[in-house]
Amino acid sequence: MIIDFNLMYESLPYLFRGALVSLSIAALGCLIGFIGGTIFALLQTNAVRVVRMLVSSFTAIVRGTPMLIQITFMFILLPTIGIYIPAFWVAVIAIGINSTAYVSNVIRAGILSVARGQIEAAYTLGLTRLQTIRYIVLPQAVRTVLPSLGNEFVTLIKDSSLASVIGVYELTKEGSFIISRHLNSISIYIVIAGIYLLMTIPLTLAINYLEKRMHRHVSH
Amino acid sequence: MKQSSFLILLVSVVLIGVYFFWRQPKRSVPMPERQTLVVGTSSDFPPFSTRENDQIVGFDIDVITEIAHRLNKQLQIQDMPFETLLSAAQLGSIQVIAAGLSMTPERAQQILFAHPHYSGDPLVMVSLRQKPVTSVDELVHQRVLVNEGYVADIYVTTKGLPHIIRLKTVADALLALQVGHADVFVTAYSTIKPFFDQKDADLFTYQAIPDTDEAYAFAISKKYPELARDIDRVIQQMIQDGTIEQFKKKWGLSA
Repeated sequence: MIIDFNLMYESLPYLFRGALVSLSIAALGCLIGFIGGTIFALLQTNAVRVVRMLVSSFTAIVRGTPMLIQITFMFILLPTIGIYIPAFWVAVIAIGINSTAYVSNVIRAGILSVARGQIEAAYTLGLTRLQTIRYIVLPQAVRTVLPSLGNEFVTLIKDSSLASVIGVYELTKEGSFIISRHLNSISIYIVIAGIYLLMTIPLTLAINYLEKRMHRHVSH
Repeated sequence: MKQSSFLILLVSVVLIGVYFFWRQPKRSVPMPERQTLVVGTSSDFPPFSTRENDQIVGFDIDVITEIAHRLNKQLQIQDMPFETLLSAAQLGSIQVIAAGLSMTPERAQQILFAHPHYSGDPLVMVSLRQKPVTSVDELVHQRVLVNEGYVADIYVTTKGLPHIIRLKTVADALLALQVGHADVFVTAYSTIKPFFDQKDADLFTYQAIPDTDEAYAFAISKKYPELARDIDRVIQQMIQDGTIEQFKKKWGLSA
């Protein structure tokens, strides 16, 4: 039998455990990406020229190379510079760095979308530069880019499958492990695809809803 | 009136389409012609199946080429990921798997194994020369690398070792061992040998694990039982007339 329903059913607990790991990698990576991306976006819009150039070359390098290469590179690089951490954290860091580059661009666009007049008004009212960023610019910037950040999270859930190449037991790896034992790739790949959809579709719907609601707020 | 006739036309076109779509899969499994031997391999497993100058070569490839020759068939080799080979054989889109496949009972349920054309290949523990692992008992305390799905993987899993790291290729495992992600790499001697013949031999050391012995055989799709018998016969012939031994020497597999 090409499609083995029994095997599909029996592998569910393992695959769902893997899905949890995938979600954790994506969530932690997204968190790093959000924090790092915000800092980098602020640097890119406020810092001196040299720093701006460094940040934009960082984003150019990260966005211009495949994530698979970045993860394997980290896997080899970290121990050679004396950092010994489990493969899970290597994946989180690699995906976080990758996400930082993408998110920083998104947030930068959000920052630039805040009207110049508001910032000038804040200065006139006596707010310091930091206060202006903290209370005027960032809240609005983050709100505009929230849907894009959600999309980034969905992308990261799928990208976390790349952690399988360095031996992290996330969803794809759990699946390939079962395939290596039962050699029935079709059945298992169907279940894996189903679980990925189970994670990504509700998220996408939630983002769409959020986007609509925000649109309503803004237009009123 | 016009609208409803259009609707009827549309529905009938869809129904006809569905009918043909439904019928097609039954015939779409490409049944290879009698004179062709369609072989699936995964060319990332030297010395059994590997790539040289854009050509698939190896011990298994040499043997199956000779078999095709003796059976008077034309050989067609398809290179695909290891994990898809078995599904392809079950579907019948390939007839034979020649990819350094070792014989296991689980696999034997799904395909027909020919007489093994290579055996006597022990598992070895590969470790860094400065931090050698010499005894099987030590494995319990070590971070153990294996290649996923290989016999070594099944061996260490059955032993219930607490810390197993599974990577895709031999090269990945050697690199992970080298940079310190693990202490020892368990694999078949034949798979590690080509790497040590090339380079880095002085960096690593290895120790055979007693009472481990792998047998490699071709796997034939259950859709071709006659072919399985033919291949089986030719392999035994080739073992007797020394052809297999010749190929073993060529690929550095003879003891």
